[in-house]
Amino acid sequence: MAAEAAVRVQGLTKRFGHFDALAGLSFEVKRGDIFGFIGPNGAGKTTTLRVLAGLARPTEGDVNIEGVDIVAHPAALGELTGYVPDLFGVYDSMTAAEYLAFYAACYRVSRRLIGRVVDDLLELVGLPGKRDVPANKLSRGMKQRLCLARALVHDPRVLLLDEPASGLDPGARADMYQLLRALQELGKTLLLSSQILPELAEICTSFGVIQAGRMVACAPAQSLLSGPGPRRARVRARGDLASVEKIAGAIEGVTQVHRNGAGTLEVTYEGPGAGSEGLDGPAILRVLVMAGVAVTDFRDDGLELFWQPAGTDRADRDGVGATVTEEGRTPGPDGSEVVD
Amino acid sequence: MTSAPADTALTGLAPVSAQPVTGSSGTSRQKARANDAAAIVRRLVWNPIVAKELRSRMRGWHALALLTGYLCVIGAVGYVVYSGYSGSSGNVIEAGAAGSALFRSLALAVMASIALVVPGLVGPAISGERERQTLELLLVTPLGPARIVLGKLVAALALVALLVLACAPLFSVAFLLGGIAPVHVLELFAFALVVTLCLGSLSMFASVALPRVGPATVVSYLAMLVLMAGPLIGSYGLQGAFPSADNANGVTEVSGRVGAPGVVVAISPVAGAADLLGSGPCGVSGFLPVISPNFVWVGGDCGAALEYTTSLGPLGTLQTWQASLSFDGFIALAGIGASVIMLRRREPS
Repeated sequence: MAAEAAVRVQGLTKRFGHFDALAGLSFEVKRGDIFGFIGPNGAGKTTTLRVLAGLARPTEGDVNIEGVDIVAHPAALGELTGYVPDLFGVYDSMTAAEYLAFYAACYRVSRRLIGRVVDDLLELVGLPGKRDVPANKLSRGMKQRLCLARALVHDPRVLLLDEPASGLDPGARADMYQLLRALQELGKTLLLSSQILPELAEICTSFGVIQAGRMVACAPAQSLLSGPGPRRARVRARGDLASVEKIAGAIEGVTQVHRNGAGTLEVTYEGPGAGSEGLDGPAILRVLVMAGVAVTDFRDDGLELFWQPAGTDRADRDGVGATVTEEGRTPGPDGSEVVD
Repeated sequence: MTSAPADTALTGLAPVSAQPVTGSSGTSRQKARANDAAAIVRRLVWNPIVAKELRSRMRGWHALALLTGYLCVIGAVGYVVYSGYSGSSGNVIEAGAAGSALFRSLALAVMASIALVVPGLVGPAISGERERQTLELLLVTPLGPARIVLGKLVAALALVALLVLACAPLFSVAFLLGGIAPVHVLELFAFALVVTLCLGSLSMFASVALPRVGPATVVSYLAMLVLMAGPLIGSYGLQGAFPSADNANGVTEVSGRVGAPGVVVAISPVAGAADLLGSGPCGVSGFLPVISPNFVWVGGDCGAALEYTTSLGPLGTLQTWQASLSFDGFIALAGIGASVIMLRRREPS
């Protein structure tokens, strides 16, 4: 198992002052996988990718990329990974080709190879006609692809992409996903982050759902997206129960929302995962309904929701039923491991 | 669009450093060793940021406009000084004195322009990358903070060097008139280089420490002003704290040869430049004793032997421009080191 893991993270903690951005995060990504990293704003996705890219040092924990302990050998990281941040800029005075050539030089690509690398990468990302166009004149989607090409100049084995499709129109997004699949075919391992599961559902081979710095679910895509339905979940809400009922009712696939009293709703979900409106809360709620995951301390707009799979009957810390096995792990659909 | 090219460099590319050197014969081994040596040298001097920055700066009309405007100003200064030594017929009276005065005034103008240009060039160096959201992309490359800082600094200083070298034809006029020794020019360039590095390193530190271009540039200029004027003002304020001493030679010496103020004032490049280019009370540095009465004056009357010295206590005595060069060199190294450390430790929020 470990030999096949391109990325292995164990007990990763990142502390900013008294705030734990990451609290003992653990997960593995197999070589050649496209791993979707799902979670709402502030969940810790970007911090995790920054640690993996070497831009932030972990407070605690082990991080291995392709068998290299990047905490002990941070210098090796640059050769192993390519990083595309969610927000990035380009140099106004550079053309697309010059931009790539500059980064190729930064990664010590041989001078005689740089021209070929630049041409190949522009071809790969579909920008051969933009070779001599100033980078700042490119559209958002083209810049995104150019930045992806930049991350590939040194032929890294692992690509870290922070919300690579954010801000793209549907056409550009489809192009981006097609490109990511092509990179997978080239043997790359990809880690993508997003706030919305359906956005990544069509390309990812596995998913991790992160919440408040903890991995709450980590499973292959088919088990997360196509488990047996319908599922029912009981929701205990603090705050405006009517709002929760409204939010839950608006989720595509939720066929019934029943108020049980004592601040508890029972939600029945049926149908495939598609067409989220892009709202953090509903999108994540939907992910959790689909995954049948029990989650605590999920905060959204002042509401505190406690989710658990339907049909469980043991009490959690708030006295609501939950299935909890040893070490706080519950079995997810088809045996995938779910962290409570 | 996105199908992978069959013969793409992408799939087989390895960093240059990882490419093995092959060859089994003696000649091949020698070549391999030569290649290794060349690779080591390349690795030491390798910094793509310098080339990128210079290309970006020299592209377009900005650099040309800057250079033209700069030469116009320096040329105007030279013309005014030269005219002052010309008779009504246009002939130069006392060619040696004219050459010396022209050289000094050009050199002062160059030094002043360095003080004005360097903070503006280096202040936005790192803060600009951060503001443009390209700093992280650089930090994840194998370049490392040291090469990023040095690359930015060298590129900015190369532009300053271009401005200085562009003045060479003007300086050559001073040589034609006489009164200038080559060693004066070498001393001036060494001093200018160190002052440029010093100002550049202070600006670089501001650029690393501050997230936005505007504040970083403002603080860079403030740092320049503090470096220039601070020691002079500080020395003036400290004069009462040190006892006066009589000078046995009867030379103007207001508050003693050994004392902190003399050392403090030498930190300022203004003091160093005035010493380097001045000729005592008869020349441009005559204002120094006025600014800092504690400043040590040794020597007789106006002439080549006349110079300011600064006591470094147990380290002996240096000419003031040499002391200034030493202090500013130290500040430059400290500033560069602090910038590298800060950039390494600074984590994005």
